[in-house]
Amino acid sequence: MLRGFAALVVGASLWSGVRALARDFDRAFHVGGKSVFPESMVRQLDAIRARVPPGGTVLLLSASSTDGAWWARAFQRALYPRNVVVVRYEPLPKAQLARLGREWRFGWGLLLAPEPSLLALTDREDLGTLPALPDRVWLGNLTP
Amino acid sequence: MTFRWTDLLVTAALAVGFAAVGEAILRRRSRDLVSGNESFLVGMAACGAGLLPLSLLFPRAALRVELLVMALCLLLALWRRARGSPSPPAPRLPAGARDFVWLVLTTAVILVAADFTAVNLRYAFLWDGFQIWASKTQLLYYRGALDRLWYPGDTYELRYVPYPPLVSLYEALLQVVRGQFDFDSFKPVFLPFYYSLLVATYGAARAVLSARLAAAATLMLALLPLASTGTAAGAYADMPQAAFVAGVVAAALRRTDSHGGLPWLIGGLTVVKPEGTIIAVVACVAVAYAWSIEKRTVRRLPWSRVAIVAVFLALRLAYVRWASVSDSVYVLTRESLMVAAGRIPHVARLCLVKMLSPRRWGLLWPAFLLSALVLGRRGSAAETSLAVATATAAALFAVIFLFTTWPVELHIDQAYPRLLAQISPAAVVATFSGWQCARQADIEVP
Repeated sequence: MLRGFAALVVGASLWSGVRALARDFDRAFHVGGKSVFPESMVRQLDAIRARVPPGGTVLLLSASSTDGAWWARAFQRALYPRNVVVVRYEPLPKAQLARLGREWRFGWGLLLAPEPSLLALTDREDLGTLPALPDRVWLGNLTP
Repeated sequence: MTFRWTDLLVTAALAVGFAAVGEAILRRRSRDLVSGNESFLVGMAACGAGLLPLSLLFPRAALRVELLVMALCLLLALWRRARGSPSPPAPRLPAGARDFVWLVLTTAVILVAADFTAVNLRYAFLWDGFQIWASKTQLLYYRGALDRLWYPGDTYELRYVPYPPLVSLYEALLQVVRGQFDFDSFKPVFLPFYYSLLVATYGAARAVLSARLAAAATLMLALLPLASTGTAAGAYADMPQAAFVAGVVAAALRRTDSHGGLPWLIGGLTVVKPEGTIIAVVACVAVAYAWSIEKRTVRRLPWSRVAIVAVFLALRLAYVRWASVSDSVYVLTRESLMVAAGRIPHVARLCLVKMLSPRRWGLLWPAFLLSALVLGRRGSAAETSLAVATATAAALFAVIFLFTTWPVELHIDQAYPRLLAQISPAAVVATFSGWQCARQADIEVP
């Protein structure tokens, strides 16, 4: 009985392990990207750097605090320490937006959303889509 | 990931540097893979704990001071070897190396390790790996030392500031040596942790089991999905924490030359992840229990070693106090205690379901529980302590969800399996130990 139980435990370990290894190998080499920043995002970052000078302060507003959080923070990390990027999510009340504006004196706004109407941006630029999301990346000037 | 081959070399050189720090602390030369791994873990523990004092003394240059200390220790280790100071000879081949079954099992472990190596270097970050640990690394790199700030304007994420720094320290040192910061260059750092996990698990198992069973235990650990795939390859800190747990178990069970390293390794649990402090306290109680059973006295406790663990715990508390960030995820108030009491059956059921998931664990945890019963009746003091400590840690990890402000189901789903993965080396060794105990006593499993 003892040997039988041991064989069962080892067999279950092999089953769960080999299955996970195979699935993970497939995901790593056929699904996963080579960089934490996909090529489309690298192009978007280049466009942001071309427009926002070093030291420029950016408000990044994401339409979603769940699906958009990864990309919002990825933009923040990618631009650090060249630019201060303050991340906020919808809904962002006008009073809070005004308070943030006074505190950080944003020159630029970066919006991750399906439509550009969430943030009043001037000279707005559509930088394209985000992977696996309906959101687009909008860059523009943010005047106080 | 788009790492360069030189990143692998720098990562290996840093691992040697950590091991040199460990050798300097333990005042001995590593004589085989297991003791070399112990030196590596001890060195990392010391460097991780030392980062806070160094950050206070050298607010912009703590990382560079750490590198300097590692370089000096490396020179010391080389000088000692050049002087030919005595070192016990290492066996040419591990025991069991001529056993066909051992060779098959060890080859299987190496194949799994090769798979992890390939996947780890290919994988991009998963959530925590990027949002917490790599981000902490970025701040550490650009600020040169630990800081009380997170990214400008962040409030909720401030809770990451007091997270222990070891994984980020290793990643940041790699960036300092390579001379520029690149998120895509971090992944080689997780290879030494992974190899350390396997070596320490083998060392722990070998202390109480035959070479063949020790290899089987190591293979069983390597085949755990949470040890070798997914978040482990996605740069989470749970696998590095598991490496320290394996190191502690190995040092506790290998009695001949490892007890000098044990307090450093227990302390090292506090520098990897926040919950490592819980494991460290459980480990202290387990070691003290085994000591009191074997020596039949607590008066002869090695107080100098107790002091080492106390310093680690004090530094951890100091770091949390210094960061002065209130945790909004776990709240302990009179009201939350009332809520927690009502949640007990629900949390227990959810955690048990996670623990018994065959997809994640095979039959590890049921087998562990049966083995724990056997060890309770027939095991040595150390083996019994190991089983009780592992079960206690698993239970304490469930308790913290009683106080979460997140949706309980979501939080347990995301975190409890990873917490169990941290103590899985102890569970695997206890499982095999209990099985051997049952077989030797020729009793049926209760």
